Amino acid sequence: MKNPNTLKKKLASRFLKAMKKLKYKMSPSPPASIAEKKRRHRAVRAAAYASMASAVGPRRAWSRALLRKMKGRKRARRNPGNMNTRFGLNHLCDIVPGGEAMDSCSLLNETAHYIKCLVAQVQIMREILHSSSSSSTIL
Amino acid sequence: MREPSREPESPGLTSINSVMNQHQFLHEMLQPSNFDPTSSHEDFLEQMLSSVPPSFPWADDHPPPGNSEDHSAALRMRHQQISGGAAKALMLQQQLLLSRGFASPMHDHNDVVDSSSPNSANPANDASIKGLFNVFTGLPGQNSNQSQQFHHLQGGAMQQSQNLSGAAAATSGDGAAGRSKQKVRARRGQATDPHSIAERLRRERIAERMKSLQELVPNANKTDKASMLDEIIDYVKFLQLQVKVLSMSRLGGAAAVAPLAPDKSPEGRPTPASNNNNKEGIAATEQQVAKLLEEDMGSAMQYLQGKGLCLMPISLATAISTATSHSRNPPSNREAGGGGPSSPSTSVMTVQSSATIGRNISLKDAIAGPKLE
Repeated sequence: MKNPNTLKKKLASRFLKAMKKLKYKMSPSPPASIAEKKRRHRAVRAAAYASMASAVGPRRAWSRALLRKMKGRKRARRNPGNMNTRFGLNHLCDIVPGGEAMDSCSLLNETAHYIKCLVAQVQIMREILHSSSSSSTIL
Repeated sequence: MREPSREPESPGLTSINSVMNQHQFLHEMLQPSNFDPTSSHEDFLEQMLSSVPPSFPWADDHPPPGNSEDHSAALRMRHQQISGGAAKALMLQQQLLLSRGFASPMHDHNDVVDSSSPNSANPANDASIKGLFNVFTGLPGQNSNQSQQFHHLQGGAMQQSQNLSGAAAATSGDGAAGRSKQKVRARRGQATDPHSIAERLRRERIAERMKSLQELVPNANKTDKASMLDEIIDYVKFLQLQVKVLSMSRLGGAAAVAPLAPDKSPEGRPTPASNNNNKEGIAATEQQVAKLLEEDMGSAMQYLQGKGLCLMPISLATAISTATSHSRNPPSNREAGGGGPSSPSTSVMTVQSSATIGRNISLKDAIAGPKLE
């Protein structure tokens, strides 16, 4: 459904913007303690997911769930009559955001889209990392 | 006699009988403007009306009991008495009107049902009356007209009789399919629908989605749904872990070894590192690298690189470690990150991968060491 190039561009722009915002908030490199580092890493990861979710928008259930989590309002556990139609998707619904309130069919759909977005996000992060690192020699 | 042993034809027959009644009325009304033989026709019919043959199985429980059936009986008698194409056509018409099961005589004319004919009775009446006229006048040039009108009649009769049986033989399948389609189109959330067709369609949809997921996930192992699900779960977990790792390594740090994965318990790997932090982090990194190496060599390399590590043969690593063992600082792991070439910490870890890697690289001979920038 999504053209991978447009998705990547959108993700990249949003992620870079989020990172820039993050940079100004954080202390300049390198942070001293491990706790600070942890915080930084978590912030970066949160920025990654947030940019992913906002790039996708409210079109997808998982992005909606992620956005809800960001805003601190994760309470949408509707449709409790899904347990009998699960067929072993229990673990999947724990992993994919918002997987609780979905039936099996749409859960698989959401998983597919989520995987696509994750792959694009990871590629973007890698490319950013490699472009910023000076010596990138691979054995 | 009128036998009440009737199947689903009674309501249709009522309408058809009313058609036939209107037949008679229109017949009489149209009489003055039409041919002369009609008068003789009417007389003949009234002649037939007097004699009522008893051997007709049409029921008798509709409002106009006597005339219509006698009329039809009379017409039948007429057919029996009068031979020729006209009578045969009349009988055809009667049969078309009264029943749709009479397939054989319909073969003489076209079998095409004019489904576009109007559903109301009056045009059918007109057509039937015209057909009657054509029959009685015996105009050979109007055969096509006849057939058209037969078709009209047939269409009208068909459409009237469709209500009877619910679905004819040709349309029974469509009816059933339509019903099942309606069932399937009903919302899936209704738990009170144990119908097998709905279940089957749902399973088909799920299988379809699983197939599309298989194309996304690199390890396309089409054997089993459960194993495919596990594969998908693992892949999603792996991607999330990659995001985590990349976010950690982004800010320039092999120094970020410590808070790598709090859920991964450090196993008893031989790590000759000097720092406790380093040990835990390195064990976790080992695991991660091993996992990555199973998937993709390039991503494993990049992961290590992002952490400021690299793969090197054991011999070289041991050589380096012995060479630099003198100048090792305990807290060096904190500074060895983004590019401090001053004191490269010589934390060495062995990576042993039990899984086979599809590129003929066995990891037992390789270890990861810090990148010397």
